[in-house]
Amino acid sequence: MSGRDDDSGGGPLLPAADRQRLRDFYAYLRQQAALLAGYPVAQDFDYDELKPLLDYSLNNVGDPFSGSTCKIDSREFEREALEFWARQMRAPAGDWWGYVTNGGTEGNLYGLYLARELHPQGIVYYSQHTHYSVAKSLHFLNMRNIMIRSQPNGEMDYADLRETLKVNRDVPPIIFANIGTTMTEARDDLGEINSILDELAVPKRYIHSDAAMCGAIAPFLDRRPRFDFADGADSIAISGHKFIGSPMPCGIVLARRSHVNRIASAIAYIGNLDTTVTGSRNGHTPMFMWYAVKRFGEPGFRERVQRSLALAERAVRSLKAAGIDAWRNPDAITVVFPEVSQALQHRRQLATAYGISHVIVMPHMDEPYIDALVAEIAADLENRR
Amino acid sequence: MKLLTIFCTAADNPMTRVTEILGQHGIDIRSIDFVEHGDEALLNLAVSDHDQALARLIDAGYRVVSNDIVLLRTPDRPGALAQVARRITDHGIAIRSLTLMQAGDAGLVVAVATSDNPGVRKLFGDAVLN
Ligand SMILES: Cc1ncc(COP(=O)(O)O)c(C=O)c1O
Repeated sequence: MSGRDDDSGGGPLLPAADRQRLRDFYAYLRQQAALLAGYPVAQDFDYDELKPLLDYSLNNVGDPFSGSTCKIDSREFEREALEFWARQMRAPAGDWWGYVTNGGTEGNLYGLYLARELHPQGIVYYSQHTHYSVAKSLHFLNMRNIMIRSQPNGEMDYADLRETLKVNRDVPPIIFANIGTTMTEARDDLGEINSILDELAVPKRYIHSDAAMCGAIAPFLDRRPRFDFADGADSIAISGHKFIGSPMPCGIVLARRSHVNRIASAIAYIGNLDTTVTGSRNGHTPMFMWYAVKRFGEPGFRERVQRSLALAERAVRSLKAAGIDAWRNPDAITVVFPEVSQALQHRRQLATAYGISHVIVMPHMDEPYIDALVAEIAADLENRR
Repeated sequence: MKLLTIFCTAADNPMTRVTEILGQHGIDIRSIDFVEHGDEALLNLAVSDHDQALARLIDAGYRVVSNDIVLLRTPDRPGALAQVARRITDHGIAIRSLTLMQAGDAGLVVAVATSDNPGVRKLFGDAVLN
């Protein structure tokens, strides 16, 4: 912690060649960030006011809701950010807990960990289009798991879920629901899932919502999808560096407090009440999450969602007008079209899988940006015909 | 002995590429068996250094499974995974994981890990690919 208020005397800290290298790197990043169109990375953030914090090594080690002897932390701000998102996720008053994670992946790992502690014999059901990191987490946690087919739009095939659940009726199901799949932003419907579980009279169940993609979008849609605590989720993971916007990867995980308390007491046996996954935790990312909440608030998020949806619709319409078979899921900001050339995938960083490519419309984009992008895609696909 | 099965596209000339990759890393091939089904190809291998071969082939972008996983082919239709699951659990075998590897013209390819893999192999007979 240098607290360098006195930049009067000191000269530059790096040799000229290294400084040049940094300048080149900034220029490269500026260029690539402007081209990036295929990953859900909001770029309309402005955290200038937080820059002085970079003089401090902020560490939120442990539970954000319990005290710590470490005073260089941002836990107070973390709790405020969590409160905002708990409200958006309709968490039961007084019965929720959470923390700012290193990303959606850690939130999903945490949700699965809670599920495993509550149902050690449980089987995890997840759909074919689930993010690849989930397979890693299942492996870490050594959990039994069964993949369910996806429908063509990327949503879980509920008939397949029903059939598969019937086979293992006696084992508590742990449903890993996608609230926005990586490729097509399809959302699994917790209403549908719960009615299948009810119909099969499954008494014990756990539902985790992977809302990495849509957690910061879904609460602000006019037709609210069924995905949150009030819809039956036991835990929810959201990415912070996607729709919310953050200069470094982060996320938010929320869970029912009663579940967390049960595992906390189990951990107490090993003399440690820390219920988070890592030891030291980033204290800067909670500041970004707090700032975004203060800057945008509910109306701001709603406005960013509406604007992105309108642009996504514009992109679909223009691509279709150019004879391209483009589509998007209802209320999705992900625009899907046939696989483009490797050159364009590379240039625009367009994720491509299962024969489709996509553009994800983010709040920093505008009409001229979308129109130029559509023209590039149309020209590319025209050449491929 | 642990075997490796590679599941790939026939057009990519997998036989040549795979043998080259293994050769470059000084891994000996003890046996190799190559089967094509339409657009897909299946390579079954026994090698001198199983873990190293698995890592290098995955790095090269191949979908590789080791024979502690059973690869099964089933018709591609809704409920097919459930049917596989039912057949296994009806025989008192517990499923550890069941994953869809590929859906294509030749049917579904499903990877399963269970409490009794030899039992599963016997159960599915000709539908076992590795
Ligand atoms: C559906 C889904 N789940 C999980 C993740 C992983 O999230 P993160 O990159 O924040 O760890 C992603 C990210 O791409 C995703 O799209």
